[in-house]
Amino acid sequence: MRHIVSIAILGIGLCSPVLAAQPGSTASDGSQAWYTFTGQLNAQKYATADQITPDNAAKLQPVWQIHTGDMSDGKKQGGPKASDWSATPLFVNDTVYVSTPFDRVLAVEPDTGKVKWTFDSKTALQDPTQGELKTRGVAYWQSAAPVAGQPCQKIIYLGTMDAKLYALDADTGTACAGFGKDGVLDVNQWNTVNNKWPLSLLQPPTVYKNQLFIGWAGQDWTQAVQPPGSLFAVDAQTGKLNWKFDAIPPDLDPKTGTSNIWSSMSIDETNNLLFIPISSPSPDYYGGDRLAPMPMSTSVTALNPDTGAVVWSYQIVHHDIWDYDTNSAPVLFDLNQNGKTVPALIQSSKMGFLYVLNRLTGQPIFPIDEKAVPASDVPGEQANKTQPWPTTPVATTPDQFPGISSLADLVSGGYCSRTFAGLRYEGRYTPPTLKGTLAFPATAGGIEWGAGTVDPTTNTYIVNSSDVAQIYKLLPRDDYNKAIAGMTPDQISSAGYYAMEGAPYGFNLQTFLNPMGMPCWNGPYGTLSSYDLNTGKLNWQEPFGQVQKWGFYMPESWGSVTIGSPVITKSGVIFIGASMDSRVRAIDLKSGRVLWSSLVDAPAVAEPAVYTYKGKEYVVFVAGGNSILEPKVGDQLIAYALPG
Amino acid sequence: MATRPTPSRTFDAGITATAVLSGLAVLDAAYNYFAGAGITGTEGALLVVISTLLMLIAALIIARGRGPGWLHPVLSVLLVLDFLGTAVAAYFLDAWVLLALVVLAAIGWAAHAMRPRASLARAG
Repeated sequence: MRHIVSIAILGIGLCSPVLAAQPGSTASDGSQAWYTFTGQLNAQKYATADQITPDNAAKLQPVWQIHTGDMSDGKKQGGPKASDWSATPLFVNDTVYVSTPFDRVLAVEPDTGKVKWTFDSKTALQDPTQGELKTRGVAYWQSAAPVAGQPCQKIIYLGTMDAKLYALDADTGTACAGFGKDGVLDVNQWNTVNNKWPLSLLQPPTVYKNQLFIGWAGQDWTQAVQPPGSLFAVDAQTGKLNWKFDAIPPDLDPKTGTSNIWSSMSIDETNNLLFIPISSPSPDYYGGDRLAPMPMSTSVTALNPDTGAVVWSYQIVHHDIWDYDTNSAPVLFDLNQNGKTVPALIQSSKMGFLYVLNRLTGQPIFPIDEKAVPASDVPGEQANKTQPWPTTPVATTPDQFPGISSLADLVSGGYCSRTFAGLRYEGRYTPPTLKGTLAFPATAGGIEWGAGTVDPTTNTYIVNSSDVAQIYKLLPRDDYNKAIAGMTPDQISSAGYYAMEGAPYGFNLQTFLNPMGMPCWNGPYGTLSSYDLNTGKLNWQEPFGQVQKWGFYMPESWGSVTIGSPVITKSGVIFIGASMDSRVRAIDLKSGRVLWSSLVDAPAVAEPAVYTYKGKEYVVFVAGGNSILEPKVGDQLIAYALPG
Repeated sequence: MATRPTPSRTFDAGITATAVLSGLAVLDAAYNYFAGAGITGTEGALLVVISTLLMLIAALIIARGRGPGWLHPVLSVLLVLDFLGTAVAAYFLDAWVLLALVVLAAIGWAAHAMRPRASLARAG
């Protein structure tokens, strides 16, 4: 069964479908806070701040910046791995909190940038799972009934790449002794099935009431059989395990693994629902040994946060053999349709498809067809015959490969067209093959883990998306072993080889570039889109950002591949970094016109935080880079505001 | 028999301006390469350091007015190509100061190229 709706829905169906007004976006004094990686528990990334407007955004200027020193290009022999700083700062407790790729935490004064305290987990700078040093930030909890004079009534949580979760007093940065063991919870203690590597905590846990929901990242490309993707719910003050959820049926543990939750989650506070994006099972690109139904893999699933019971689950990719992972927190909103308010969510995807579902039932609100897709010709593989295909809203990426770039083909002496002629391509969901498959969109997205943002006053949805073509090629085990013979692990990785040990095939993944590094397909390579979620119609779509090669900026009409996501403010301004050109921008919500931009040290690959403090609105970006975009790293935390 | 014209030693403001502006372009390009916003350490930034340096050298040689007869026409053609190439590169590097300097240097060179020839002495 692809679509699960449990009886538990009956327990919530009578609740009011209307969300509280921008839950979690404002602090008790009415100022704009930024509580989570996605701004608020509903993941709208919406700021009620309205000081910066389309009329004055051009006057924005840096007011403070910090260089943390925690960055590495990974080139130093024996030194730290390359850093990948995708953290969104939090603004809570009158403080900006951010973690660094070296697993440190900084607490910063919001108006001056002066560091209040730092915490160093002293984690070894040799990432055990990702090949890079990564963090996406910290999480925050505060007691509903704080005890005066007691520490740890407000807690900052830091997850590390070696599966440790630190609880720190938000005021002082000292460890909360009552949490785990002396303030550290070893999440890897629960890694008891197919333990191959530590459960890396890159994404901060989701905090709701007195619980933390902890997902993790692994390596679903290295082995066929891996740890199942358990989600852990623990007590926020003690770290005691309350419940655990597994997307993979336990009887399949000997054949597969992962289907983990490696990105952020969202919470419907009104209806007491936890929404989790579940990734693909291992191994990523061959499913011949995991043909049994796994209806919650690559799905968006609603759980009861008190018990972990499944309320409903909607699988967005059946039998995922493309590494299409459900990769971001669904954004919750209330849809207005024919005079009725419908509790809804929008799930973005690497495929560029946007799935608008009733968040109480998981039923599609706009049509999603079950469409026939190409069959696999790989011995042992059985690609699913159909895939869900949303028709409204229109996908951010085109359904068809946009064609070979004449320029890239010309300067490479026909390399692009020759290569394309040798690949299998039959539209979306063409399965991986032995001769090579053109995947468009591919695992690089489409839309990555930042997802989109919703203005709940108009139900305008803004999302950045990439148009990337990649070549998927399965290699029989002997051929794979020959291909990687004599290579170091770093060389194997940088050459795009994925072992998938235990499967009959290894894998090679290449972005479809010519030998000069130019994309072989026609742009734009990245867009920013605006949708009316009440109707599902596209308002506008513009090429976004600029590609930079050897320092040269390519035409704006080409757009840029993006990682990171936008936020919207009440005054109608979109703030976004995300592009390869290391610029951060303010954009007019209505028209998509760029109002302001500023150059930062490296691509800002997370959404910014927007907050107000002492009556002034600030926008804070982390400029840290991500190797998926380009090998440029940074350690800059920078705040912008209007003068005066 | 007419003797070879001897270049005047009068001050040539056009080529002097080209040389000075080329020198400033070298400094700006070098700054961009080592500390420039968005293009630090890139191949493109290095390319314009080299091209502006060549521009400066060519302008200085022309300004000195010495060398074999074929040299100045050849350098003039190369200088024009250098102006064009560097300007295009600066445009795509978003190096607006550099682009302005190159455009001004090209204007200086144009003034040099179009200067009155009456000052050329004729002997015999």
